[in-house]
Amino acid sequence: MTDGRDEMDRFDAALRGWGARAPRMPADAAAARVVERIGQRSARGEAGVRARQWVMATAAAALVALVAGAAWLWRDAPPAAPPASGAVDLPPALPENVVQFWLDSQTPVYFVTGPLQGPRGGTP
Amino acid sequence: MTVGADLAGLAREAQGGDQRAFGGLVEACWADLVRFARSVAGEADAEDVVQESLVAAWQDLAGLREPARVRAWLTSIVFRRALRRLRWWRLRTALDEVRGRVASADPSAAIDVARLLDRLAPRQRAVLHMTVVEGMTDAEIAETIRMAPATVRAHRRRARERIAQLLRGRER
Repeated sequence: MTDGRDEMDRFDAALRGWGARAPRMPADAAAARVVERIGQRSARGEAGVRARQWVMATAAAALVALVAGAAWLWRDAPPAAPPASGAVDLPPALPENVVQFWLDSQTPVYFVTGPLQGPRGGTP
Repeated sequence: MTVGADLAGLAREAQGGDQRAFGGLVEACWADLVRFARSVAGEADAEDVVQESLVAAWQDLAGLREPARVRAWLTSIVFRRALRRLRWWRLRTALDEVRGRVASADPSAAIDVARLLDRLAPRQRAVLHMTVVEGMTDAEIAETIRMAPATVRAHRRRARERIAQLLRGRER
């Protein structure tokens, strides 16, 4: 037990001696080196920000030029020709007492406001 | 004015963007941080780890809420960086090579401290260093490396058991 304690005390003393050794690089040189690295890094950071700003500005200018070019190219283009009259599927004319709603382009709804004209189902 | 107050003042000035004040902070803490990093990361990488940590600390100075605790804050950054370096190093290199490299750093010592520390887990090394070399209390250690005081005690106990085992093995 005592041997173990002695051994541990010796280890602690050795660790204190080992741990107390001075660093290879003196503190003032280390401080100068760290400050220099900080300066380099912030210069790189600023350069990066500037580069990003340039990229964004160039991209925006290219987009504006593209839009302007497209507008100029198509400024005199003839308007799209209307479809041939035969191709249009006109709805049949509705009686006056029928109102038509469109739920969407495919779904008409008819609302009848009076008695239907024409023959009704069933015969006398 | 005490050293701690000086450090707090430098930390506040550095937080305001003063690189010279940060340089002063580095100068004041350098030796202690390198000694700590040497125990955790090993002789060869210690100074690199501390330099990297200090550059990272500069960028994260806004995260320092209590300038009076700047030394502990820097130590915690060094600790995390040292752990990261160790993980990376162990991925790259066979463990035996690391041991050979570290052991050769201090061949003349009667007790090869570097070799013994290398056989411990990084957190055990950190706790042992702070206890034996820095003379810190469990509460201070716990706060610096962000673990519960009971965990600090557990790491120290296991470290001591392992060291005793290794020392006995050396004599056999």
